[in-house]
Amino acid sequence: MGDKKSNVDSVEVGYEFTCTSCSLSEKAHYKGTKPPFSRNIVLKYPSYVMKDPFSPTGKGEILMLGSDCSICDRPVCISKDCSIFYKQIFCLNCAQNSIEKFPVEIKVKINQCKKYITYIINLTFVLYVVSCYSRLIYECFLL
Amino acid sequence: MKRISEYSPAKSYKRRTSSEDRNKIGNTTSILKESPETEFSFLDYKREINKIFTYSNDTNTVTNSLDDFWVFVKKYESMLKKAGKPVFSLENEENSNCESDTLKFSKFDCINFSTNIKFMDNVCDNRVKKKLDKKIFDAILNVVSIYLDFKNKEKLDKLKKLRQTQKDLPVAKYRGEIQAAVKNEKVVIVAGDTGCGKSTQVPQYLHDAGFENIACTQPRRIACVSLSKRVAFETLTQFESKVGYQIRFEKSKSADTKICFITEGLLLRQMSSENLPNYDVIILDEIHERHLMGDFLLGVLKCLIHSRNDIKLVLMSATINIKLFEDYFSAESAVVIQVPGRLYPIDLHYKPIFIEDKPTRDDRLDPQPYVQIMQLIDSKYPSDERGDLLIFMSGVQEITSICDAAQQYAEKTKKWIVLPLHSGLSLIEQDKVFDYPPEGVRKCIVSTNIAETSVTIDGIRFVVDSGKVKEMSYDSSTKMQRLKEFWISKASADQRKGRAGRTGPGVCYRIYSEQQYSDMEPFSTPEVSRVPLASLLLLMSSLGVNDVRRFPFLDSPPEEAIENALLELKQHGALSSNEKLTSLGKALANLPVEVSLAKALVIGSATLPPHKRDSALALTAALGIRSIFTTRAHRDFECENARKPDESDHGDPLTLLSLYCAWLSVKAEGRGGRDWCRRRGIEEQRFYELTKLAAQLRGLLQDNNLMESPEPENMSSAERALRHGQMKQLKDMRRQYKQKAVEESKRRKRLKVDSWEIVDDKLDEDNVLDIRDIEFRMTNDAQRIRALISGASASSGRDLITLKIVLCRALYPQVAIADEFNHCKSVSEQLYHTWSKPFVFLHPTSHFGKHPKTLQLTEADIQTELPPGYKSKLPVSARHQLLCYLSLLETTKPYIVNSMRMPAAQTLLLLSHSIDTNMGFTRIVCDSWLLLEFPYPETGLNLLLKAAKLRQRWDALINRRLADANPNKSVETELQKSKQTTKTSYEQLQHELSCDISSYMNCDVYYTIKRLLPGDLKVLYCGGEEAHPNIDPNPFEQGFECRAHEKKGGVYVTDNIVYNCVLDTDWSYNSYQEIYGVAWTCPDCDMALCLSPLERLQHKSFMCSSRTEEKKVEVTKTPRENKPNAKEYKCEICNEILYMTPVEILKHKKNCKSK
Ligand SMILES: [Zn+2]
Ligand SMILES: [Zn+2]
Repeated sequence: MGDKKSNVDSVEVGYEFTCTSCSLSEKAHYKGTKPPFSRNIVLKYPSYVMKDPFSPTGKGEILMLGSDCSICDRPVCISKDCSIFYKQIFCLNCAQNSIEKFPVEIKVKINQCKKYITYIINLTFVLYVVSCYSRLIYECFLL
Repeated sequence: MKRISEYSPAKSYKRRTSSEDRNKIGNTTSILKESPETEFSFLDYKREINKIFTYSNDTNTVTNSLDDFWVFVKKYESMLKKAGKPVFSLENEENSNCESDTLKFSKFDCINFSTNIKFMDNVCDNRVKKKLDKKIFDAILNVVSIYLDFKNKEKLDKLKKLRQTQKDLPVAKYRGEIQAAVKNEKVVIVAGDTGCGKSTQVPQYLHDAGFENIACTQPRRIACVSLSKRVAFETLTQFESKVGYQIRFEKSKSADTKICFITEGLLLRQMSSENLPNYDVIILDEIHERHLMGDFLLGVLKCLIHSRNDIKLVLMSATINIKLFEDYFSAESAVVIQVPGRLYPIDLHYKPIFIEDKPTRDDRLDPQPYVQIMQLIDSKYPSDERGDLLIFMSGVQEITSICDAAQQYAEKTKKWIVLPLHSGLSLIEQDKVFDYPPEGVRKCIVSTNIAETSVTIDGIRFVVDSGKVKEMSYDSSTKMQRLKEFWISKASADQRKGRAGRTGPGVCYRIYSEQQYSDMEPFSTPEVSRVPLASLLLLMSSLGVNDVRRFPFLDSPPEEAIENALLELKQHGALSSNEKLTSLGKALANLPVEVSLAKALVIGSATLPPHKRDSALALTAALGIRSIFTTRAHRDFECENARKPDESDHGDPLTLLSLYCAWLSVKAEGRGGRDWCRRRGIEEQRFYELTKLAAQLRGLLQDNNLMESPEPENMSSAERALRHGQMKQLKDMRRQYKQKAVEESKRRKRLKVDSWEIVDDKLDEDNVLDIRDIEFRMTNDAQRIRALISGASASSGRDLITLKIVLCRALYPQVAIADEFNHCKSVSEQLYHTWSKPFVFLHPTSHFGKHPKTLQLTEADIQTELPPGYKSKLPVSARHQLLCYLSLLETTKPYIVNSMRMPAAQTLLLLSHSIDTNMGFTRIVCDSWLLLEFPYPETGLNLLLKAAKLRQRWDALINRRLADANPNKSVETELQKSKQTTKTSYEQLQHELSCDISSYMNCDVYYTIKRLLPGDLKVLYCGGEEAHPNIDPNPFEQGFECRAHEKKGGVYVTDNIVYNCVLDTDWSYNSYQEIYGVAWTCPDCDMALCLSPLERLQHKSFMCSSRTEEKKVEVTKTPRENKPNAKEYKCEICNEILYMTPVEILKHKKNCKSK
């Protein structure tokens, strides 16, 4: 936006966006589907948008940070570790809880994420077990 | 899966294929059924699509980078093809229409972005084979959405990565603690080692905590710029001005700026200017470095926070000697927050190689142990394990000798790249240490202590510490700087060691023994105890510090150093005898160069006519920056030869000036200049700095009313148009350069194994745009450069003489006299004696160091027919010369640096602080140091009288300038001023003075010159016992009341001339008697009388009947060099002949008429 409007801008800054999953915390300039900085770009689902901090001002470039989850209403960022988008945004938690509503391609994706998460949990557990107990238990676990 | 490659778009798309996203696109295309149109490509419609996008008149990620978008489309298509999917099919659209079925999957539903650019049917374009229709356009809009989504993810990842790095910094854990402490306490000390992130994070924490105007000082200019860039990036404001910087030559700061990085010196000057910006926090970074300015700033701020409750102080230091700072601020109950560094374990070895302790005969350094350590590393650590070597040496010579030996080893093994690092290297050479070596090759960086804290190089695993440092110390009594090798302190040794453990576990080899380590001093000597203090004390006085002796220094400098610095300031007239700041002192304190150079500027701007002031500015700037010469300059015969035409036989300062003018001429012709400089062994960067410094000094002089602001330059419309075109072109070039630089910075350069040779980079350097040249041309148009050249050149005649004497007056008493036996000694043995230190040498790289003959008398110069009765072993000549010098420096020997030759007697009589003479003015002693004997009667008297008169006129001119610069703005003085308009103009006075000075400096007087030893001084003066008659009337200074000198005897006839205190020798007594005895005829009124020299003078000045006519003759003899369009003009009203421009003539006519 224009350089002279810096005062107006500072009033505009109103959305403290914090991802409930990864706790990324940024100041968003806009929330909604039609970011005013860029006329021809429309978002399908209302989202937190900031003016792109990595390109010069007035170029109309935006950075969409995330949205409020369509089920639990908690803000999540668009990172694939935090949310999934399918017509609406879902935090991974809610996506898993209502997995049956999604088409198969998305299910696969959600499960991938789930697997990934359980994999990490298992791995830490395994390491813990290995360090504390015997190799035997470890092998049992693998079975 | 890591999938972000921040920069190259092409690369990131490629990586994406291999990542999980392949699925995504794969899934999408599964919807698209096989179609016969396998050859379809969006690229065929590029022209039309671009047209529509551009026509949409929107700015967004796609329209801003259409090229990038098409690269993406290409990759996207080839990806689909590889997967056997069609790029575009008609069914695509049908699919997207049946949205009712939630379980029917469309890839585009996974994307939040959509674009609503309207389709437009382009008017039929026959050149296009395939026509774009609405369906295809809608399909490309879907691709646009994918692109937007991809770009958005890329940016978000960048943002997350940034936040993660911030979070991972050791200082991040202390964010809350630091914020709370600064809010609640007056002084907070944050101690943490390099790499803990305090410099970048603490200002942000404080800003987040609500502080609105944060100043953060840095000892180095470069750090201000780079930190402000980094912090702006981290606060996501790199395109705003929330974070800025301010350094000596430039600032990037506006009213919006909340965090400002500023050099220590500049902050101090802000405090002296009485309008300190409204800072709410002042952060002092790197205070452990103990620089002069940093230390002083601490003291000033310690005082400031007592009177200002609204300013918080944050001190940041490495974990060195925190106790010292804590104790210093104990009255303010400073809070210390310690941030543990991120240091990996370091394996420490003392004396890893057996080194014989027997001292080598010639004190030369043995590089073998260092090479052996390289061998040791090669044998112990496999070459596929990364890790570079950093060797700390004391100085440039040592670095060169280690580099030579290491290079030999490197050539054999091909496993090393040897790189020197010290501040004398060009910036390009210095930058090499950051480049990457090829696989299996290690960097061996041989550095001074610059790499200890100032320069941080990543990837160092091995450190070799010689344990030595070359440090400047200062002897305030002789005003000599000394560059000497010392053992480092324990703190330094630990810093050096720490450099090995920044990126992983490391190894440190100390060449010395553990015993030696424990014998080391705990901390290095702070700068305040080893540098000249005059500038600092002057700055303190101007800041209102009443008694500098009682200033609360962190470490008090030696008492003697303070006293000597005060004496020096008094000698310069910056302080009065009761140590109050004079108006000269006030003017000097505003100029950011050392005191003597500042004085040259002030005197120069008072003395030199306006069109020649650039010479004084350029000259002082040239002496104020670091040496313009590279290390090659004095070794390479080619370089010396190339410089020869511009070398001035008057001395080094004038050589600098003429080289600068020559460079300006090269610039004026638009011939670049870099190559010109390289051929002469000159670092071109220094000339840019010189130009900037000169411009800055000019600005300061104008701000302080010591120089008139120039009239706006008149440009014709054609010239203006030409300049406008030029500027446009230059701006384009600058943009190009910046783009290139951004690309360049993305990939650090790879080093070639043989890259130590300088020859290589010559080639690729020339192809690169020279940003400094571009910027120089943007600020200096051709007209300006031509003005600079004509203003700065002073190669001959009156300009040269005036400029020389201006500089000499500023540097006085830094003059040296040749040893009487120099004529029978070799070039390197030429000895000189200065007022403060006898037996010094000429620096071998200086002009006179190479050409000492210029300073010696030739047979023809020596007068052999002497007046009867006069006998002396010393040569009588009119050609004795002195050296006026900038500084003394002791390295292997004490050297005179930057010297200039001056006619001896004329200079001394004009500039000496005290001049003593006998009754007949035949023996004159200058500053109780040099004795001049004038064998011919009356010659001494005439010269001294001329000198005294000139000095009075000169002083008056300078004082008038200073008085005008600091006007007391009361009504009375304003009234007085308007009355004074009848006063002779500055230009008139300046012109007359410079004419008279140059004829004075050129006059032929025969004399001997002798350096007085302490023994001589004991029998030199007649002493205060005898009563001396008052001199009335006083021909030296009318109205000056004579008073007796208590110790020497005699009487003061001016402030600095004592008459009749020097004892006569037989010869001088006889010659006096002789003169007295012979009747003297006044050349003007023909009266004949028996008079002593002084009485003759009194007659001429006060009694002679012809006295009234003598004045006002000389003035118009030489036409004033003035503006080029000035011409001779005879005013019909006042009958004066004047040299003026047409405008001035009109003004003059008007004035005359009104009278
Ligand atoms: Zn998140
Ligand atoms: Zn949810």
